[in-house]
Amino acid sequence: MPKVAFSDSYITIWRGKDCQSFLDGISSNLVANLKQKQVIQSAILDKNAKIIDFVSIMNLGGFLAVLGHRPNYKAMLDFITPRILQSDVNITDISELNDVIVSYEEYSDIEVGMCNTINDVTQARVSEKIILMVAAKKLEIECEKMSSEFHDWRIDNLIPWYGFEIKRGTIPYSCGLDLFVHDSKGCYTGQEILTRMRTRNKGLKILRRVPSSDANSDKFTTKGDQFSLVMLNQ
Amino acid sequence: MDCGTCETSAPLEMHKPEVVDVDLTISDNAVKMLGDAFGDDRSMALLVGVLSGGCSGYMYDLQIVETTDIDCQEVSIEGFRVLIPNSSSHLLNGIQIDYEDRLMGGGFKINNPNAQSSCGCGESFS
Repeated sequence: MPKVAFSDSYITIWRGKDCQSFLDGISSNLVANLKQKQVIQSAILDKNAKIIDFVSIMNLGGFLAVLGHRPNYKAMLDFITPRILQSDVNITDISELNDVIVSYEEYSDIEVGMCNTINDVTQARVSEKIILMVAAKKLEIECEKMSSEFHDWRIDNLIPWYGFEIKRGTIPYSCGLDLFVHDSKGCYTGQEILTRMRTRNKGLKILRRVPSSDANSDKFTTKGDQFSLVMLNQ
Repeated sequence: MDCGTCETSAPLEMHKPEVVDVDLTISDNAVKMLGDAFGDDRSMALLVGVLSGGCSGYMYDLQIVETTDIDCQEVSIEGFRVLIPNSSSHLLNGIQIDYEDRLMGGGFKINNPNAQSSCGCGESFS
């Protein structure tokens, strides 16, 4: 089954009793209730609800593993570190010790939203069709480079990805991440803007698969040979 | 996953804001409400902190405590002990603690000259 390297990712370990509440306060999904062996994806937002990074958060018991997009790493740290204040949050970057792999269309016993670790490989099933694997580098797990085959698969399955639809400075509702905005969790950074967009039904966009011959090719977020992805107004 | 526990991976260097000596004031309404809350007991203190979160990025955190593990500076105003965490002192210098007696949205309010904006409910600022 296809496995591709998520080579432009970072993986950090968060320790401290305030980690979950801290992440809950700065991101769009409900992180506070994340239990051991669960994984959730959430967008870290600035006060204007613009994405700083879109992260996968795994509760591995005793610590959280937070996986995001390497180009957003510095912006993410610049955003969060002044906000830690007296909170008990300690972050360690373990990217150099691990490979991150995207496994898609693979059969797995792991339920959606759950993760497990066996022999230094943590698998987090973030959706029905995607498993994020974090494997110790020493294991040298074989996988392919992220190629057009993966992106064609994304196009067919309407899956937004880093650098294509998910870009720093976009709003979750305009890049296909509306599933990762919890609509009743309470206050978090950027929440007022998102709630206003939702209640007024303004600025909401939907990810569509269209023929690559479509006239709006300049608006394609992911361009494929036959079909492409585009964000259209709802 | 290699979590780095057995390696030498050091925690990331975190931004540590400069600690400032906080100057704060309390309105007459707030003094009256604190008097009602504390009674004659002056062993308790009002902890005025800041947490990350809220719509605008930072939220005020008011607690009545006897002691705290948080590294704080203590000021005495109108006979009340007020504790300010050093880690958020740069965000709280110059604040006025007020109390608004309203049916909706009433309670202690912080007027903060450091806040560039605040959310609609007034609970958070940036």
